[in-house]
Amino acid sequence: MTNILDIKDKYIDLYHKNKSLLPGNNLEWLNKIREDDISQFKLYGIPNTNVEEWRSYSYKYLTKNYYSLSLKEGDLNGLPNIEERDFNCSLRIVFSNGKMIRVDCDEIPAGIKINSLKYFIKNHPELIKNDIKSVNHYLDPRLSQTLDIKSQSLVSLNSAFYEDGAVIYVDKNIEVPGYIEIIYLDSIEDNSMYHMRSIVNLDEGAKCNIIERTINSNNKNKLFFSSKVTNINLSKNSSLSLMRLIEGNLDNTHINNLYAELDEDATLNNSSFVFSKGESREEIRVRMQGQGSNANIDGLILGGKKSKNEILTKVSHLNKNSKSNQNIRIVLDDESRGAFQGKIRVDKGANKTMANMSGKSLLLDKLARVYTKPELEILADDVICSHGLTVGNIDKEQLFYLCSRGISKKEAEKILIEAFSKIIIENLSNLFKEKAEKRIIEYYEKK
Amino acid sequence: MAIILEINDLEVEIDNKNILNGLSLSIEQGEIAAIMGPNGAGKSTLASVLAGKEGYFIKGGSVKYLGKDLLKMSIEERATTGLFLAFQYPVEIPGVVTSVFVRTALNAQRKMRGENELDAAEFLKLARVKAKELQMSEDFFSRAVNVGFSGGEKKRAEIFQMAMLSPTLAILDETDSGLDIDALRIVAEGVNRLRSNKLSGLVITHYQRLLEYLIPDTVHILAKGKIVKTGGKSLALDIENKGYQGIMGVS
Repeated sequence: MTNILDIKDKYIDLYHKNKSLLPGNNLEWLNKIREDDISQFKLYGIPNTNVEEWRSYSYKYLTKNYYSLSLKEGDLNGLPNIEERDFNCSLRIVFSNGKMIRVDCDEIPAGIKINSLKYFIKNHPELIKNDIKSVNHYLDPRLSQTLDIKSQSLVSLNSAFYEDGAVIYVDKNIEVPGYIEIIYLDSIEDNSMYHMRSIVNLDEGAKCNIIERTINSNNKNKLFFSSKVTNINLSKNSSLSLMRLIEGNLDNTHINNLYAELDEDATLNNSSFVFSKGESREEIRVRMQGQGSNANIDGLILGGKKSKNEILTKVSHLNKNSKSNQNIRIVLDDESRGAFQGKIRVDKGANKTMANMSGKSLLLDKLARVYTKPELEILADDVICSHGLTVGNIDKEQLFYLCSRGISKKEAEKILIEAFSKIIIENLSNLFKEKAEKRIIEYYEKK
Repeated sequence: MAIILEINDLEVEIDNKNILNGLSLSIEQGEIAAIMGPNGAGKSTLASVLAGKEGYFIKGGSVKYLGKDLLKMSIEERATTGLFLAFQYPVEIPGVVTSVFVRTALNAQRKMRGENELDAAEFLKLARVKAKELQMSEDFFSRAVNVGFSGGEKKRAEIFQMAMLSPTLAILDETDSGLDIDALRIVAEGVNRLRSNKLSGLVITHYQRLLEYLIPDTVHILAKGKIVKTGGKSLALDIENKGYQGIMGVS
């Protein structure tokens, strides 16, 4: 256990010791971003519960532990079995320890550039230059015009340490067949961390489906921390469907920051399924820059034992006629914690915006706790916005009704939990449905 | 005839308030008994206690169902041994598809009895026949349980479930409330179709109207938590003419 200020200093030291080993250290622009961001981190450190967006509960592992960098190369030994690629999986990239170890595919479909970040930094730095951004790019002014840098301080830490990530470019009007699967295996040494930076960039009219999955490499609980920052750029008329399945063991901390910018008539469908037994945080920030853009942000958290899982969304409507829908469902058992902070921002002039947010939580145990907070900042006049957050228990009348027909209490509860989270599955494209359902069944079987 | 249900001196309390005060009643195999009574007499409490709903304190008395102690059985055990409650206010369950729910229930019961579970096709075949008898359109199969159903549809859906589950003892808790005369007739005919010497029934109602279509073997009058009068079907008519006060001198 270490003091939060000492942890900050140690990370800064670690950066300076390690920076000559980082990929791209010969690129001036990249070094500048890393330097700028570590100096931001120097100012704000690890966020604690004094920071507005981190108030729900304390992330005790992050604030009390110093993690060393996982220097091990990703290795194929001792990895868990990953099921065979199914018929629809046109391409699979596997990361271990935050580094790419494998690409599985029959042939890379035409019109797609896909590889590890390390590869692109080494061979095509000019291509990714615009998609690697400093934390400053991701900050939005509050109503008071101040920038809230503190809350995204971990992204500046990520800037200082990332070595690898997935990079996907899809050319104009190319439709990627089936889906691309990105698998993260966390087989790393105790008390270590890794940081990843990924890029998804769809050119005009391109279409792509991606499944991201974290898999526990073994059942042993290890203290470790992963940070993944993903930069998504969707050009005019392009469409990305992204499903993320997040697992984690008791002592794991997973922090994911997703930033998406949508041009005219672009569509983003993001569904996050969070089953971590440890701590996890999904931050999804979407800027709807083009007219007529669409974003559907869904999330399901299933929590038990001592898990702490949080989803934070911020959807900014910056232009006319854009639409967003957010559906978050949280089911918590035992003494687990969950949180949903949802924000809709409609900028001046972004008229005819339609933005809806629905967050529902189901508490199965009297010791479970959920923190939910909706925020709407609406600066335009002609908009339709709605928000609804609820917290409840299993309805006793419904339970009695089901049991009175001969269904056991356990089965009846299962039916009601499924019904509660059904909308998240229903909103998935058919390509994703079966996979998500399978994972949910596995979650309950292992529970 | 064998006794299906035997209630002796049943005393039930909710929030320290006596609702049933020594109620005794028995139902034979194949018998349809009606329970009538004024508001607040304890009719719905009786139905809920028999089905096993929580929140009631049983102070005394006993209930034997098929020779076993009913009060010791779980809700689902009661159902799987053939007790069925048609709810006064059927519960809406968004997100649960009616046909899936009824099939799950039917198969849970069949499994308990050591019978084969029905697959989707076998179930659908049976469900179609029963729905047709109740003049219900099949699209309610794929709708969420009771969600967006009209009052009449909800009550018909209850009788549909009853037909699917073919119970030994059916308790109809004010199945007639909220029904127009046509719906009432359809529901009553639905129940009549199920009548046999294998089905016993406890029909709880405010009004005699239902009993014109669903003719009971016996009529009990429940007031202040007790059966105060028992008679044949003509007793129901007397109540319609004279009111509860007129017959019993009870308010």
